[in-house]
Amino acid sequence: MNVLTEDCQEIQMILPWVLNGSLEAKVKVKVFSHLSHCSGCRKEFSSWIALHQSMEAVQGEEEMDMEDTQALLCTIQKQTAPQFETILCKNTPDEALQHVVKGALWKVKHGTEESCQDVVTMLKLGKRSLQLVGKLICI
Amino acid sequence: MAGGIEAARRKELLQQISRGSAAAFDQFYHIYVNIIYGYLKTRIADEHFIKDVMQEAFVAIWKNAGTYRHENSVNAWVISIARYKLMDAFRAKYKLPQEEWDEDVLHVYEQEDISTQVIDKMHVDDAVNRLPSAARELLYMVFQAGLSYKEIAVLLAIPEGTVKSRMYTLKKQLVPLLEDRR
Repeated sequence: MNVLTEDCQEIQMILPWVLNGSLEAKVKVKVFSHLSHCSGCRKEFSSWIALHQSMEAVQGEEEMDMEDTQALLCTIQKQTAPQFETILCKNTPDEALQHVVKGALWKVKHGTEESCQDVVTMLKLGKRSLQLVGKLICI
Repeated sequence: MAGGIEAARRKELLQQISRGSAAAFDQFYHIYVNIIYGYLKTRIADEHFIKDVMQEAFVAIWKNAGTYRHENSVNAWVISIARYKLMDAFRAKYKLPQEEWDEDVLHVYEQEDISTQVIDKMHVDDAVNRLPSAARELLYMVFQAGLSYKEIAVLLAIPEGTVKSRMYTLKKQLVPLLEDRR
């Protein structure tokens, strides 16, 4: 029976994070250096790889239906419809206008039929923004 | 998992969202919709309930994008919001006081014996699906969301060492099944 050294225990505890890529580079170097001379930990690492692959296969199936995905986005957009006044508070008038126009263009390119209404709303915001910018310039 | 360039893009999208960009929000939504959905599926099965929580989570992302701190990963930030909204929804549904629910969540591992739920010779995907939801949540955080053990420790409010040992224990239950499958 293999006896685990303190090093082995420490390494084996962090093997999942070698696989998910979140370890710092210097820790990763330490792990791979240990694996190069420890067959017990290499075996442990292989079983983590197998589990990781199985997990990917299981979780890959958990995707939302496309229609549901779009319907949920529409519902969320109703709650998050940008108010130009709010955007204007956080940006210069030029930047704010760019956000509104870019948003409308993106909708036209990627949106569904349902989101056409959003484009109309955005363009109305754009018109309102021009009026506001006009007022600011007058001030 | 988001690599360097992809991670930077996600951070940039959050910055744009914080300045009110609806286009950036749409892109962000499409990147994260299945990550949040997959995460919530580890804890609950009810699709309607999941969608309600997702709606709350995305609205919170829209409202709080400006509070994101660059030293954390975007994945960890998003999962923390989804988890918070899930707990909120459970609290509302079952009318649990805050302290009672947190206690329940934090001790779920001690209440459930993983080994009794894993049946010999079962395929690993079945085995994973039959794990307690808190165990599936941990696996998801590591392998699907790509969170570091430090991030998970903060999210679950447990020490880093406990995160590592829970993963280690989980694998000990699942390895025999993997070996049977070969």
